[in-house]
Parts: sequence; structure tokens; C-alpha cells
Amino acid sequence: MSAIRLFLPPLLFIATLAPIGAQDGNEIISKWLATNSGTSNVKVNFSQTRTMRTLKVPIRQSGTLTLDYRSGKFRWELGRPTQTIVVKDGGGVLIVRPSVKKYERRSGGMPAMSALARGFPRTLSEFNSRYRVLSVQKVGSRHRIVTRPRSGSGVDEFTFVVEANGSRLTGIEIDLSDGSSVKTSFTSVKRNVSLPSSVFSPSISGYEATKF
Amino acid sequence: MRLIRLHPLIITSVCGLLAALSLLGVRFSADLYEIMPADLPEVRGMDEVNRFFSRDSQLIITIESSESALAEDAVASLAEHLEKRSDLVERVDRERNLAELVNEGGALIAWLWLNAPEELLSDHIDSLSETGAEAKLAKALEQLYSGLLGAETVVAGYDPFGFASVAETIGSENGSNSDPMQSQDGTFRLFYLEGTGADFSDYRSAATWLSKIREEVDFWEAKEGERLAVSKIGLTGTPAFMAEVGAEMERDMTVSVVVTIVLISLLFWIMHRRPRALAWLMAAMMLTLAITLSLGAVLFGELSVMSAGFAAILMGLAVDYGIVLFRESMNTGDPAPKLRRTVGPSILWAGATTAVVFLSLNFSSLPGLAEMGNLVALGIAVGAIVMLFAYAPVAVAFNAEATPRPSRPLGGSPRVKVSAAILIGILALATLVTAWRGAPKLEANFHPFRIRESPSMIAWQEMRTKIQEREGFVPLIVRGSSLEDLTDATAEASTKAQRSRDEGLIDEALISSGLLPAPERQRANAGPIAAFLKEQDRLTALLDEAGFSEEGTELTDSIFEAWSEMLSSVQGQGPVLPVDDFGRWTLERVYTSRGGEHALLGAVRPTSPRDRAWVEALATDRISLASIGSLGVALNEKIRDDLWRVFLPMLGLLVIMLAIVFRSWRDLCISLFSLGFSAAVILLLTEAGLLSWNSFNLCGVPLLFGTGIDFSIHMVFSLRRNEGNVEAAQRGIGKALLFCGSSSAIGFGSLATASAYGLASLGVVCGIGILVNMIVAIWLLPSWYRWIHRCRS
Repeated sequence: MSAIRLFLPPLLFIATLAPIGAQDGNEIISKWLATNSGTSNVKVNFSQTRTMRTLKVPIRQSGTLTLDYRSGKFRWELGRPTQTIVVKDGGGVLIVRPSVKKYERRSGGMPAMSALARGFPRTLSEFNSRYRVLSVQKVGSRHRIVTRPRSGSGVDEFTFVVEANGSRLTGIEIDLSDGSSVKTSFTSVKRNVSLPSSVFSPSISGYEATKF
Repeated sequence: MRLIRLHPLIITSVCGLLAALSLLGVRFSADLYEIMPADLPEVRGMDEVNRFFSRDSQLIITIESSESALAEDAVASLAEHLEKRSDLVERVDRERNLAELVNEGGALIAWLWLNAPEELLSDHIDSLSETGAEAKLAKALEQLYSGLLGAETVVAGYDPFGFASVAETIGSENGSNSDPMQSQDGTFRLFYLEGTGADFSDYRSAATWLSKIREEVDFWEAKEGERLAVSKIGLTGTPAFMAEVGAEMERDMTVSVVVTIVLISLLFWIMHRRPRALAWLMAAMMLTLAITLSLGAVLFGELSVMSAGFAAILMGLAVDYGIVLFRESMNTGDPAPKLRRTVGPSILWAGATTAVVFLSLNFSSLPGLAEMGNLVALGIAVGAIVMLFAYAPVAVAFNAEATPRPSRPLGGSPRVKVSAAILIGILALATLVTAWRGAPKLEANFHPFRIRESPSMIAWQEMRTKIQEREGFVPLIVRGSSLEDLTDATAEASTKAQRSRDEGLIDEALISSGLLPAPERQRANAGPIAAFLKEQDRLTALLDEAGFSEEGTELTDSIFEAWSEMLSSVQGQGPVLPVDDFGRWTLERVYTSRGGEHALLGAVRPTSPRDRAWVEALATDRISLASIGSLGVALNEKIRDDLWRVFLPMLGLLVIMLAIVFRSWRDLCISLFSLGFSAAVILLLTEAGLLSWNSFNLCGVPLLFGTGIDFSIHMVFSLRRNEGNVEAAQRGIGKALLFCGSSSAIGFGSLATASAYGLASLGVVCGIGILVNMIVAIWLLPSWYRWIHRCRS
């Protein structure tokens, strides 16, 4: 096997990881943010892989995220059947566990949910006020916008994965400071759908209040 | 008298060198609490926080960045950079993130269980029976599968059996959710650095060490500061305070002495124009300083920050004796022994009177002021002897060589009626202003230990504001002569805190009695823990079966390992403490034992921090409060008491003395008028905002009173000798008073630049007060004398 054949695959792989300059990076982010214009709400089905340092095997689950930009409400639902529902509840969040019929109202919010609670950023200035861009890379047919949340809160890197063509957000990857990570890939994205108010007010009738 | 042929530069240089060497031999105490009354619970509290919960070698480094994540990175990066200097840094203690806490906290958790109430431990052990352990694991897995990424999920991964819950149970007494190492928004953070390679009890050595650390910090900042958006780095804590306070005291003493000497030289030059005589006078002053400093070091040991001001005051006072000798020799041409016989007694009496006034500062509640008073009194005695026996022969020799110069008059006093009008006008105005606005108030926020422009103090204040005081908590310190005594005192503190909360004096109290080592509980828990150690394999196997990785079992393993290690010490002497550095370091934030004493650090949140009722409700001999908020009020109350206790009897005594000295009610009235007038002027200057009073410079009032009486006695006797001839009195004693008053005012005034705010304010008030006394005695008192005595005739 010639040397060129030996090194070609890695060289090709490295070429696909081409870093993008700051100017181009901003353009990519702006284009992605522009895809949200005219969107009043969004319903995203996703699959999630959580690789935790403390578990031998990663946890794979699917779920749904519903965001209403007009009211600032969100609903995050994980598991089939649903294991956890988190909705915005005034200044805090309401966590519901249908499997055990328990709920918790948390007034201070949850650091990891704060990004969802505020929805995805819609302008470049809003984006920059919440995230510091570490790098923008093109990997295959996607752009990876690697950021660090300015508020810290135990998250080392927060990566937005955006289609190179179309600039749609296709997933999010979170690297936590303990070495664990969460990869979320969007399987379907629906915009401006009809949302009944009950989506953001799950019934907790018969549920027991607890502290998870 | 061949000696006086020496070049003036040589003699001043030699004496200057002696003074400098004496200064280098002095050890300054950087302990700022020594200067304040130790019986105040606030002062005791601050001293105890410093004594028990900080170490001489423990530096605190604060970092501020534009965003939380960058501040976190900056702390990690700077800590790593400094750790490389093993010749300067023994250890760095920075905030652990959650994962690090879980990884390193095993030994501390094990200790908490060993020290916990027996029933709490037995409940937890029971909950980890075969079925119980499985249920706990199921709950942890449910949390992990919930998808929530909060701290609870991370903890559930590392601690599925809930061992860490003990920290929450015991820590619940601790109530506060505030992070002790970062501001709420995370942009301001701190870490601790344990220094090595220096003698941290010596501030000069600490200063050298600190400058090397500062170099490293500057180097790191130049390299990484911009990337991490670092806007400020502060160095504070004991070594920084010691280095800065010590250096500031040296600077204060040097600057004030140099300024005093230069200004007095200028004054001497203007009045006498005799450079060689001046050089010898300077040499005599520096010799006085050198002897006093050496004696002071022997008698008092370390000098406090307030004593740094004594040298300038001494210079201003001691020079007077030299001037009196010089002028008397100039006027009479007497040889030195005769000069000593004629002027000696008056110098010794004047010295004794002034020394007594300064010694009266011992009645003040402020030990710092008392020490300064003692040093000045000592210096006055030394100065009188040096001037009489060393400077007098020199002054005689110089005057024998010189051609006498005619003495010029000082300029007349205002007309009798005008001076009477001034007296009445000023007194009436002062009375009106006092009636309208009340007596001048003392500064409520005054902190005598405040050091101006001290970077370490600024960083300390910033740390308190952004981290420790943001919730309004004040440190509460419980002290005991033994662990049992401390446990008893802690129970008393808890009871008092509960009562104070019921009475609405405080909102909240955080007293972590659960963190006190409890040997009896440890002995009682040792058996159940020893039995439980056998369950380790079962629990580890359960974790493995449930899919937990090595990291997931690490905490559980480390708890069992720490228990094994600790159990062997349980039956030994004294309580068992955490076996690792992190555990010990964490416990030492709350409980410590030093020099045979034990202390616990708690906190209370008063409803009205400046009101002392809550301090009085909580404080005992064993409970103190490091409350800066109420310290100003406490000091003001204390000094107000002092003033009545010391000043009024002193005033009565002086009036009796004046009556005996003058044997004339008119002269007594004139002297009292002078004092009243000076007081009225000072009152008006205060009302005009030019002077402000605090618990420290209020102690200058007796000094002003003493100088005022001194000046008036000299002038009244001179007027008597000259049969009311104002011009003759002013030409003679007036000139001497002008020099003495100006030199004393210069001595005090030079302290205005002192870094200790209390000392600086004392210097300003005394400097201005002495000038007022001097002006009154030279220019107004003679007119009043003529007025009152003409009325008689």
C-alpha cells in the first residue's frame, strides 16, 4: 500500500474539519438565526444520547420540544412513554414525572433548562449576549457552531449543529464540565403549528408534590 | 567644643543614620485590631476571625472577569500557573466544581457520618439493606433517566446510595445557599493560596514573598488577562495586610518625620537664619528619635499602626526645648551650666506637663492611642535631656560666635474693643450654631483601622461586598477553652440566636453545631460503621450490575476507605478529624483549634446592622460578632464615655491648678476665655465642614486643651512681667510661642498623609487646633488681658 493511500482517508477527514473565519462564522450564525424569522412557534421531535461518566452505557431517548416564541413558554418532554415533562411555570419550572405521578414546582428555574426557557436566540446580538463563540467548523454537510454559555453553570461547550445548506438547526450538543455529554438530534421540525394551551399546562391532578 | 567644628553635614548624617538604624530595628505590628478596645464584642470578633480562621501564610486572590465562564477559567488558569512556583506556593485551594466535589468529597462525607447523630447513621445504614439499597439505586437511575441536567442528576450518578445527604442534613443548619467563593453572577471569584518560603510572622519577609507572587500574577495577567477578559485581580488576606500595613507604617513614620524636619528647618531658617545651629538642632532631634525608638522597642516590643505617628509629634515638641535654650542663650550669653540652671527647670516642668497630657491617653479605651501617648511621653523626657545636655553647650558656643540680631516685633494685637468684640462675636456665633444644629456628631461609619489606598484592603472590602455581605450576614464566633466548652458555648449561641430571632433583632442565624467534632458520637458510631464496612462488596456489586462505571462507584469506595482509616483513630486521644486535605480544609472554614483554644464560625443576619441591641443580645465572653456595621457606633459610645470620664475631671483639675498658678480670677478668666474661644473656633470650623470628628481624633481634645492652657500661661506670665506691655510680651514669649506652636502644628499636621485614617484625622484636628491656640495666645489674649486689667484699674 502506497503512502498516499495510507494517509488519504485521514487527510480527507481533516479537510472536512476546516475551521471557518470569524466573519464567515457570523454569517453562518446570522443565516441560521434568520431561519427563525416569521416563526411564532416550533415543535421539534428529537432523539437524545446522554453519555454519562458514571454509567457504562449511554442513555438513548427520544422526546419533543415545543417552543412558543410569542408567550415565551416551552414544553420539554422526554421518553416514550413520557418519563419527564418540564414546562415554564411563571418565573420557574414545573417538572412532572407521569410514570411515578409526582411533580415539583421549582421557583429558581434550572440552569440547564434556562436556554430552553428563553427559547433559541433570534438575533445575532441576543446570541452573542448569551454565548461566546469558540469556533465554527464545517463537518461534512453541517456547520458546528461551538460556543460557551457566558453564564457558565457547569456547561463547558454548547454546540449548535446547523445544515450547511438551508442553515436549519439540526441538533444541539452539550459537553458538561464533569466530562459527560448530551447529543440531541432533531428528527423533525414543525413551525407555526396549532398549539392547544394544555400543551404548556400538563395536568397534575392526582399527582403528588415532591422534590426530585 | 571641638565637636562643633565638625561639618554640619557629618553630624546630621551620623544622627540621621542612627535614627534610620533605630527605625529598621523597630518591629511594627500589622495587627489592626490591637489598636481598638478589646472588650468590644465587635473588635473581639474581628480579632478572632483573624486569629482562628485565617493563617499568616494564607493569601486570598480575587479575580473579576466580564463573564462567569471566563472568571471560572481565569481562576483555574492562574491557580495552575501559581502552583508551578513550588518555592512560593505550598497549596492552592480553589472552588471545586460539582464533579470534583463528588470525587474529592468522600473522606469529608465519611467523617460527617462518623460525627453524625447516632440515629441518623443507623437510619442510613438500615436504608441500605438488600432491598433498601436496590430501591435507592432504582431512584438514582430514575433521576439519571429523567433527562434533567441539574446538580441532582450529577449527584445521583456519583452517589446513587445518597451518602452525601448527610452534608445536606447537617448543612441545613447552615441555611445559606450562597457560594462562599464566587459572586451571585459568577463574574467575581476567589481562591486561597497557602504560601511557603518566607517567615510570614515578619512583615518584611511577607512583603518580599508578596512581591514575588505579584510578579507571577502580573506575568500571568499579561499573557492571559485579555483572553479571559480579566478586569481586576486582587491580593488580600493576612500576608497581604501584613506586608502593606508594615510598609505603610514605615512610610508614614519616614514621611512624617522628614516633612516635619524640613518644615521646622524652614521655620528656624526664617526666624534665625543660622544654618550650623540648625544642623545641630536637627542632629539633636534625630538623636532623640533614635534613643526613643530604641527604648520604645525594648519597652513596648512591637509598635502598632497608630504609634507610627508618634515620631512626627515628638519632633514637633522636642524641638521647642532646643529653641528655648537657643533663644535664652542668644539673649543672655550665659554658659551652658548656668543656662541649664535658669531654663532647665522650666523645660523639665513643661516637659512633665506635656508628658502627663500624653500619658492621660492611657485613660482612653483605645490601646493604640495609649501606646502612642506613652511613646510621645517617653520621647519628651528623652528630648528634654538631649536638648539640655547635648544641645545646650552647642547653642551657647554658636551664640558666642554670632553677632546678635535685633528682634523684630510680631505685629500688634487688634484694639482692645475689637478683640473683645471678636471674642463675644465668635462665642455668640458658636452658641447660636450649637443651639440651632446641636453639638457636632461623630462619624458613625468611622473605622480607625481603615488604611487608605491599600490594595489588599480594597480587595478585602470588594470580597466582602460581593460575596460575604451580599446577604447581610455578619460573622459570629463562638470560642471555648476546650471542645466541651465550645460545644456548650455553641448551644448557648443557638439559644440566644433563637431568642434574638423571636425578638426580631435578627432575621436568621447560621450556627453549624453539627460540624463540631463530637468524640462521644464518633465512639458510638464506630461500631455500626465497622459492621457496615462488610457491606462494601455487596454495594459495589449492586452498582456494577446496575450499569454504573468506575467513576460511578468511586465516591462510595472512597467513603468506605476513609471509614477504614478513621476507625483506627476513634479510640485514641481527642476527636477524629477528616483524613484528607480537602476535608480538613473545608472543616477549618467553620471549626478550628489553635493554641489550646477552639472556635466555631457562624453567621447572623441582623435586622438593623448598625443598632447595637442585637450585638448586646448575642455577645458573651465566649460569643463575639465581627460586625463592622455596629463597630463605629460602639466606638463612638465608648469614646463618649471616655470623654466624660477623663476629660471632665481633667478640666476640673486644670482649673484648680490654673487658679493656684495665677492666684488671680481675672487671669484665670482670660485663660479660660482663650480655651473657650479656641473651642468655639474649632466648633465653627467643624460646622463649616472643614473638620470632622470621630472616635479617634476626639481623643486629641485633651491634647488641645493642654497646649491651650500651656500657651495662655506663658503669655499671661510674660504680660505680668512686662506690666501689660503687649509689644514686649509678643517680642519675647510671643516669638517662642510662634515657633513652638508652628512646630507642634507641623508635627501633628504631617500626619495628615498617614495611611491610617484615624491617625491622619488626629493629625489634622490637632494641627489646626494648636494653630488656633497659638494665634489666640499671641494675638488675642494680650488685648483681653489689657481689657480686663484696665477695667480693674
